[in-house]
This record gives sequence, C-alpha cells and structure tokens, in this order.
Amino acid sequence: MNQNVKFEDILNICLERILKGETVEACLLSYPDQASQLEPLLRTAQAAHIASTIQPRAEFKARARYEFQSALREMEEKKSRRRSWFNWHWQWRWQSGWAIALIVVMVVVAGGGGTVVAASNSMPDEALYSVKLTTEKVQLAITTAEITKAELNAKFADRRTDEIIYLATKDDAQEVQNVAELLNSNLENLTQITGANIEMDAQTANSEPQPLLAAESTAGGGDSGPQMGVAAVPPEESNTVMAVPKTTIAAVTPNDSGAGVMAPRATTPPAATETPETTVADTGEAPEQVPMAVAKSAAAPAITSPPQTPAPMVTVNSSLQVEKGLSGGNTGSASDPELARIETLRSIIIANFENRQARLEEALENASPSVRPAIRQAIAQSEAEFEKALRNLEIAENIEK
Amino acid sequence: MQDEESLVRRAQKQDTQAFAQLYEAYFDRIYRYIALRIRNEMEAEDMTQQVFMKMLHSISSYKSQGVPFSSWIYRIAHNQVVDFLRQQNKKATVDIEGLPLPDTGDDPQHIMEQQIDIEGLKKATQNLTAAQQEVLSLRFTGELSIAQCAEIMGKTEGAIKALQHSAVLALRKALAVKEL
Repeated sequence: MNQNVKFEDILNICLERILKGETVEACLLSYPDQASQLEPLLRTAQAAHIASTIQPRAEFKARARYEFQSALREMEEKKSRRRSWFNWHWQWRWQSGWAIALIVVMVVVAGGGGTVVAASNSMPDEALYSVKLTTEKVQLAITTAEITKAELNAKFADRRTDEIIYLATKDDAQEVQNVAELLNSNLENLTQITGANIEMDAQTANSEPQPLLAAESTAGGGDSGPQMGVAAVPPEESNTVMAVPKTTIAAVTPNDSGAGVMAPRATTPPAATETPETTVADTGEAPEQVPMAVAKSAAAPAITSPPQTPAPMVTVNSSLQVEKGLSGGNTGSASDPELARIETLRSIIIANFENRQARLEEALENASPSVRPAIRQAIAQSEAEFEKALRNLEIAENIEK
Repeated sequence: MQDEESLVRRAQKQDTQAFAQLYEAYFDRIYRYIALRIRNEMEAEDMTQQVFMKMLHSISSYKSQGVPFSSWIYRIAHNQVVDFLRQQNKKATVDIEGLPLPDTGDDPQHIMEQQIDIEGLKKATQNLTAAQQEVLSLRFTGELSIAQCAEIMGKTEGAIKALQHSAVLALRKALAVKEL
C-alpha cells in the first residue's frame, strides 16, 4: 500500500511535468525504477491530454461572447439606475426636510391645513399634541412683529389654561404641573416682550444731550450707558427724534436723516375687553414698520437685565388695579407710537390675565385635592409674571413720558 | 495570480472590463471540461454559457481565503455537469467526433493522429466511472492541480491522486481493448 501511495505521487509528478510540456522520456529518466510501470500510464495520459486541444466552435464563441456582453451591459444599466435612484433618494431626503419645514411654515402662515387645525384643538393626552406645540413654536419663530408675538403668546397661554382645566377634570396632577410650566414659559415670553425696550430706553434717555423726559432728571447714572446714535444727531434734528419711537431712535446713525427715522407704527390699541383671539386677528393684519428694531429689542433679556432707570411711581397690584380701570387707562398720548405700543401690550396682557385667572380660580374650586397644588402653582406663576409685565410697561411708559 | 485576484476584486465591484477579461481567460477551458464530461456539443455550449452567467451574478459570493478563483469557477461547472448527468440519469455520452479540432496546420498526419486519439479517447472514457472521467477532465482539459481538483470534487488530495492513478490505468486498459 505504501508502495502504491508512493507510486501515485511519482505518477502525479510526472503528469504535472508532461502537462507543462516535458516529454515522457524525460520523466522516465527521472524515475528509472518505476519507468516500466510509469511509461504506459504516462503515454495514456499524454494521449488523453489531446482532449485539451478541443476548441469551442467559432460561431458559438461569437454568440456566447455577444450574449455575455449583453448581460454585462444590462448589469451596468441596472447599476446606473441604482446609482441614480440612490442619488435621487438622498437628494429627495435632503430636500424633503426643507420642503416639509416650508410646508409647515406655509400651513402655519396660511392658518390652514387639516392636521395643524386638528392639532390646535388637541389636548396633552392626545397624539397630535406634539404637533400643536411644534406649530406654536414655528408660529413664534416666524413672527417678528412684537405686538403679534405678544398676542400669540397670550393666545397660547389661553390654550395652556384650557389644557390645565381639562387635565384637572382628569385628576392628572403631573400633567397639570407639566402644562403649568408650559404656561409659565408663554407668560415669561410676554414679560420679556414688555421689558425689551426698557434697557434701551434707559440707555437712550441717559445718552440724550437734552433732558427729554421729566423722569430722566431723576434717572441719574447717565454717564454709565453706552453712547447711542442719537448723540451724534445734530441738535436741530434731535427735536424731530423726540417724537420717534425709542426703537427707531436706537436705529439712528449719523448718516440717517430725520425723515428716515419717521417710521410709522400701527397705533390701533384694542379694547381691553377683547378676547385674545380677536386681538390676534385684528392686529395680525396691522403692518409693523420697524420689525428690525423691534426684533433687536425683543432679543434683549429684559428680565435678567434690570432697567437702569428707576420707576418710583410703579406699584402694581395685579387684579386690584385692573378693577380700578388700569386696563383702559391710556395715560399717554395716542399720537405717540411708543405709548400706543405700550398701551396695546398692556391691553393684551391684562385681558389675557383676567380671563386666565378667573378660569383657573374656578378650576381650583372644582378640582380634586390631588390636582389643586399644581393649579395653585399655575395661578401664582401667572400673577407673578403679570406683575412683572405691568411693571415693565410702567417703566417704559414713564421713560417715554 | 495576483493579477487574477485583482481582476476578481474589480469584477466584484461590477467592473465590466474585469468581467470581460475573466471571461476570455476561462471560456475555452470551461467549455473543454464540460464537453469532455457530457459529450454533447450543444449541451456543452449551453452549459458553458450558464456557467459564465452564474459567474456574473454570483461573483460577489466568492471569497478568496486561499481558494483560487479557477477552483471556484470550475466548481460552478462541476455542479452544472453533475446536475445535468443526474437529470439524464445515464452515463454521459459525447460525440467527440463532432468536436472541432484546433488548428494544427496542414499536416494531415498530425490531424489523423489527433482524430485517432480523440476517437480512442471517446470510446475508452465511456468505460470509466464518473469520478474517473471527472478527474481526467479536470487534469487534462482544465489543467488544474491536484489541490484544485480536490477542492472542486470535494475530496482529499490523496484521494484525487489515487483516483487519477486509477483513471489513467482504466483508460489505458480501455484503449488497449480498443486496439485489440
């Protein structure tokens, strides 16, 4: 057996050599002991090797090559189609993000869209609630007009109030607390809007070369504020500037002409008894002529940056003063756009507050003990933000006067 | 072989030029192997085309890992042949007389010798087992190594050497019978 294995190896070595072109004789010389046994097998193998010269028919070769090339082309086309689909797919995905955002914005702007409309009526325990909140954020983000933004925040605060009342009926204390935080966020936005111009007003007042306001003489600290553009306005133009809203004054540069800063502002103070929804509809159409200045002012953190001008006359006692007719108390001149702006904001805030507090108080009476702490917290936050907002408006009004 | 590996990698990335080169490198050899095994020219042609179509569509499944590409493509051909023979349920018969011969010039003696050898080969191989025919075909038409034959046929190298020995011996006997 071992002899056979060895012979098989020798046979294989010789066959390899013959396949490489060596002769049978050369192989036999290498293995003289096995030559007699090897020779017939190697000659047989050599004869069998003749089969390796078989060639496919020329016609078949041509046809087969053509068909293979066709298959290659088809594969290439599929690959190309896949690549183009892939590119289109990613291009579409990339663009669709913008498209969806644009559609949302358009729907929000148009005030239409089934889903958005449906979502606007949804409650926190419903699927579309997140759409509702997102839509509100988009609305606030795309709104630059200060008054419109205030109205939107008031409107959304009303929605949060509805939701708190709804959740209170369900004894969901945790959700009431969550929504109360959202409510507080809307109210803080409102407060921020009311305080947006205060710092700038104070700075403007302090930098005025002439005493524009009676209160400014007691404001003091005029040397601490940065020098605004008004300081560069020639004296003869300063008189013109006096009648211009503060936000416009801030935009004045040495190159600005007096006419250039006389940007009119919507001066349509809504009645104090108007509901927020009505106010939004009315004021939303009113053109805001100086959105850049307003937007710039709105960005200022009024709450965290206390006004430099003290306001000794302001002592707000929320609902008490509302009852005394503070909401309708237009003490300023309607012809002054800044005073009109302040009055409009005050009207929005007071109307919104009155409505909210009454409803929350009623909800508190009817709520179960487990929910009451959360509602009380919402009421307390609402009062606190209301007082801050009114204080800001009082300060701004005093500065303006 | 480095070049072939490179070609295969390119083909795996759907490179049509690489596919074309692999096709040209293996087409005749695969045809020969199949033609000698199934001995039916038309079937051999169809089957050869099927082998290359399979190569085209399944080359991504080929993983080198020490196995040459030639073993892989011969394995496709081997499986095709085995399936065909199983379907035929009979010994493959080949009309080797009908197979075209290579261009050997105008030497009529040379042509005659080849024809005689092929004729004798035809009759002789009919008496061999399928495994013996397989190993002879792989070794003498495909010129594959023992290791490659072992890979394709799913046997050890020692078994292939033994099979090769028995196949040549059986062929020798068959040719001797014919000569008688």
